Amino acid sequence: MAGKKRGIDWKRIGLMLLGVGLFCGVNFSPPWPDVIDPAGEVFQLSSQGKAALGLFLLAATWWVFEVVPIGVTSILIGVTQCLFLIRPPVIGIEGNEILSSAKRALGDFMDPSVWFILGSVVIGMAFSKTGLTNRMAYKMLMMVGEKTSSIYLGTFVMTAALTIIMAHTAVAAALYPLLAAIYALYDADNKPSKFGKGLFIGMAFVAGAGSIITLLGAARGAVAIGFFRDIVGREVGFFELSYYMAPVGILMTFLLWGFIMVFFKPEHSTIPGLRERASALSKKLGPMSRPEILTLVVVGLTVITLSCRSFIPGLENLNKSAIILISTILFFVFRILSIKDLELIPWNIILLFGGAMSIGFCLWQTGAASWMAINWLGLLETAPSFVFIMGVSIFVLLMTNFIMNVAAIAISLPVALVIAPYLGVSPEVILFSSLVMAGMPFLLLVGAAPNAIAYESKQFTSGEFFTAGIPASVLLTVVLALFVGVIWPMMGMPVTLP
Amino acid sequence: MAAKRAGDIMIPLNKYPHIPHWFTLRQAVAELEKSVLEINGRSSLPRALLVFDEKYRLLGVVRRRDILSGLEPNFLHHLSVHSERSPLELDVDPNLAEVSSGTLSHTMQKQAEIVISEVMQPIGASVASDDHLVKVIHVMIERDLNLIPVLEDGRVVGVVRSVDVFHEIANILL
Repeated sequence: MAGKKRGIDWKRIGLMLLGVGLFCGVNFSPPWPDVIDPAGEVFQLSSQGKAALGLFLLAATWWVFEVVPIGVTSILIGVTQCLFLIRPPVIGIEGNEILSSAKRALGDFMDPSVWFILGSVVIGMAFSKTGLTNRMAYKMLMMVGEKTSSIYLGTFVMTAALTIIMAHTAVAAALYPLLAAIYALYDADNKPSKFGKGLFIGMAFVAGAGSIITLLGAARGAVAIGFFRDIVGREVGFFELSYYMAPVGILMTFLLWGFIMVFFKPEHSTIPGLRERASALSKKLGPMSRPEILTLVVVGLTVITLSCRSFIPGLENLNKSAIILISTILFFVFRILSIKDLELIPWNIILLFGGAMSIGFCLWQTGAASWMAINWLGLLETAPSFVFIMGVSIFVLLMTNFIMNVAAIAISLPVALVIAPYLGVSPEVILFSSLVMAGMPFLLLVGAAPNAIAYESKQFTSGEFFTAGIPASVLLTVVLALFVGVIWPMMGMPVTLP
Repeated sequence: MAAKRAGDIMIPLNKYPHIPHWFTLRQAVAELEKSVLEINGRSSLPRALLVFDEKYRLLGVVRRRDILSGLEPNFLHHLSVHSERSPLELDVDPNLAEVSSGTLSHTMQKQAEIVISEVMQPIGASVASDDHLVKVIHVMIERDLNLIPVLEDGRVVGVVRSVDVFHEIANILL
């Protein structure tokens, strides 16, 4: 193997030890001071809470620097909780143990939200395997015509539309080859150009914007709703999420199109011959095959059932994870997917989400989240609710660029949801604004998989991506402020508590 | 039946067409197009070129299909996104060639300037010159090769092709 360095990686070892050191330092430190909330209630940080804070620092260090695969850091989160008995066990009225510490810590890895994510990953696989994504993408190409401005628009709308039914990573992976082929027609030498930068950066941005619209677009939504259910005690439905998020996602898609048109104005106004070639391409595919039709029907029925839970009284008790997993079962019943596809499920990602659930619930159940929240409350006490909401949102926006969006959610949401009622802010607005921000890491390539895929086009440098990301992030912040201040209240979302 | 050994059926190194590693795809195509192998009175077209470094050491083999894959437009290349977080393999629909069919010959002209070392296959397996024919067959099948270097005292002395093996088997069977 050429080019592989064999020496000892001191940086990696140092970072790993830093994480372990932070855990030990916090875990074995003497008791921390109690905090008193504005209502006079005393919050004590138990030894388990202290251990949870230490574990949180350990997990954050290992996640941020990716010293081991992120899924393995998740396993560490589970294991540490078991070995140090961090999670308080559930004790029944007769003093018998109903749920052991280990069962609570490791059980979160297969929380219904994680099952939901599994189901949505499999939907993406079925779309790609049957060729449905290609078919939809080629149809789009025929519709957009030859003007570069409408190619931008068509590509972006298509990207956002696909993220409504499948994960944005799968969408970016499916659209990337098509965009590369279009670009080869624009510039036969494949040299970087403004159009190339705009096309690929725009695709990555819009994949994020679209992914916030439904629970299928990205797994972070399911995780956030899981926290919300446990901490606030209220269930947010599939449709309810889309009701509030769709206007943001759609508006951002069109605004990003305008932004890309200004920032990366194409050198040529048309790509001659594209329409003709697109229709030739579409013809090659022929009529829809049986697996394609079946996949469409299965996914269609799943989405309808998930949405209808909000309207049809008898359905609200059906669990959304169970509904989506029916689609998983059907894909295998109809032989659309095989055992090979089952083996291809990205376990690194599934474990990551499991670990995020586990650390989030750990902070919450040990009281560490409340303790941290009350501590920070002192700083925020005088802040108007709007400033607090935007502060949390901007924190999530920055975090989601550096670490996986779901980790950003797991770190910020349990604390923010506890602070919110003290400042008279409704938990809903915190949930939705965090989710908007978590979905759109516009600054760093590591922020999301679509960014990394777009980078493969070699059209732009990470610096150029960052430069385009600054105004785009500002635009996003302004849009969010508009929704928090005006549009969401008009749509009926409680922003302040009565 | 005394089946032959690798050394008996190999083609000596200097008889097989070869090129230095800095050749471009275009030069490799020219070399392959003009080469004809004359072995034991049978002439055949070589399917590959041996690639050597400055010190005349065998670096690898470049097959016809390696050259063709090097000439493919970038957007059809199988793409692996190397990311610690989620290694992605992107499958490409070959029909996409349709989209830029008009510019393909231009693209190939440009791709033809790639150096051969970017597309060549490094030597993955070899046999010793006293290795039995059956071992040669096994290595060919197991490693999916049509051409295997033959070593003598650690030096490459020749190559065995699948067609030579096949010819030898035919002699035994018929």
